[in-house]
Amino acid sequence: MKTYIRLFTPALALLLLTAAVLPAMPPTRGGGGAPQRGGGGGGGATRSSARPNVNQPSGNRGGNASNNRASNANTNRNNNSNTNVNRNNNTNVNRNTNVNVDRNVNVNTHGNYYGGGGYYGGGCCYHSGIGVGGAVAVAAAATATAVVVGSMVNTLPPSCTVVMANGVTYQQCGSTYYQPQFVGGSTSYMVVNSPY
Amino acid sequence: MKRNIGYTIAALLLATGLSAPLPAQDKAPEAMNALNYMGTYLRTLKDFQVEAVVTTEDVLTDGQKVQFGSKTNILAQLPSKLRVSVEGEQKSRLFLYDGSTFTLYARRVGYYATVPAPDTIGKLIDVVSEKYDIQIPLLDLFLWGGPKAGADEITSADDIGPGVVEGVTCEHYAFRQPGLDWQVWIQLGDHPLPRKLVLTTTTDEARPQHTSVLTWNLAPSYSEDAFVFDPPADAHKIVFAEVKDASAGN
Repeated sequence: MKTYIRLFTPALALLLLTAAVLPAMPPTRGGGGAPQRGGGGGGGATRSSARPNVNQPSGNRGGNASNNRASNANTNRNNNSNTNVNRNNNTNVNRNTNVNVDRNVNVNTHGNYYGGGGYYGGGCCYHSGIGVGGAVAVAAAATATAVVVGSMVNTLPPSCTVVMANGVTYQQCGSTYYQPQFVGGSTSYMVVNSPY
Repeated sequence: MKRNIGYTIAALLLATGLSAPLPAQDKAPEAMNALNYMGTYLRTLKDFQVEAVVTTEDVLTDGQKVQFGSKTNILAQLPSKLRVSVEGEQKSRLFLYDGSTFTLYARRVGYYATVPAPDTIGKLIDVVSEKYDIQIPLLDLFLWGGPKAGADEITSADDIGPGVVEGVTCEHYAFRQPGLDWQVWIQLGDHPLPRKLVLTTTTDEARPQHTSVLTWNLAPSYSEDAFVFDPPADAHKIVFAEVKDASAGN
């Protein structure tokens, strides 16, 4: 029975993901903005990072810019230690270290079941664009999000479009506008009033 | 044992009524000299290319550490041109500086931002850190041997002994300073280049580590275009968030 489940769960997850992602994925660069964090930078669940330089203390980190990220912009970091190494006892520890309750765009439902085992570490980023996107699509359907002008997020809701106003790039997601910015070398999005 | 001696000296100083003693320091002169020698040599380089294989660690809120890998490629023409490409598991970045403007390009998301820049790499390092909280990767290579090198910070220096990095014979040194223990493997001979760096952050009890293994090319061939940003058609211009005063709150 366990074998049966193990065989089919990944396929099922893939189906779910595909179904969720296809309509939700924005056209080309239309938006979505693959959530990119870290490189060192992790999601909001990171309490510290290794200092990368001898001669320049990471003085500003932990200062304002980082605080913004820590307090408002919660990226899911899913460290999935799915130990499915041919053992009878499946240890599937899906630990969402940081679930942004206020803004369900980051809630990750199935996106973390990646590759049906194996370690998919290091959080949200690059390839998880698909996984997170899928999760976002699932979550967003059931959620009305309240966005506060001036708040920062690390990922955009689905179906955004790039718009230009006054030579600056914005992402329009429904009736909400986000201004992408480099915050300490990572991309974040500030909720802004309509630039028009 | 070192510590005991330090305390003894401190006690003696106090007992003799001298002013408050400095914290115990134990700096092997050969280690400090090697650092100076490396820095002085680095400052003679006019242009170079370095490829760095980097691993770094983050500490999660519960103390668990996670590691990330990246590859950094630096092309520098002193004093005022720099190209740094970072290809990481999580992000891909291009830092470009042509002596008058600085651009950061996030390739995967297709965003870039450009700002006017000062006229040397040294000043650029300061400005982007102070204004935008951006650290130029491997900035130490540009600061050692110059006025911004924080040799005063060092409280302990040791010569660990011979080492080999990627087949290159080196001498291995270890230093301590507030918040940071660090090690450097310096190539032996007339080209005392740093070949490996290990930085251990000591302000977090989990002690996350940042390691760089460097491969040097002291005769790079390149075009001046390498330092100029030519935005791809699908790239979107964005802004740098400026660091606000700490007093501004949040």
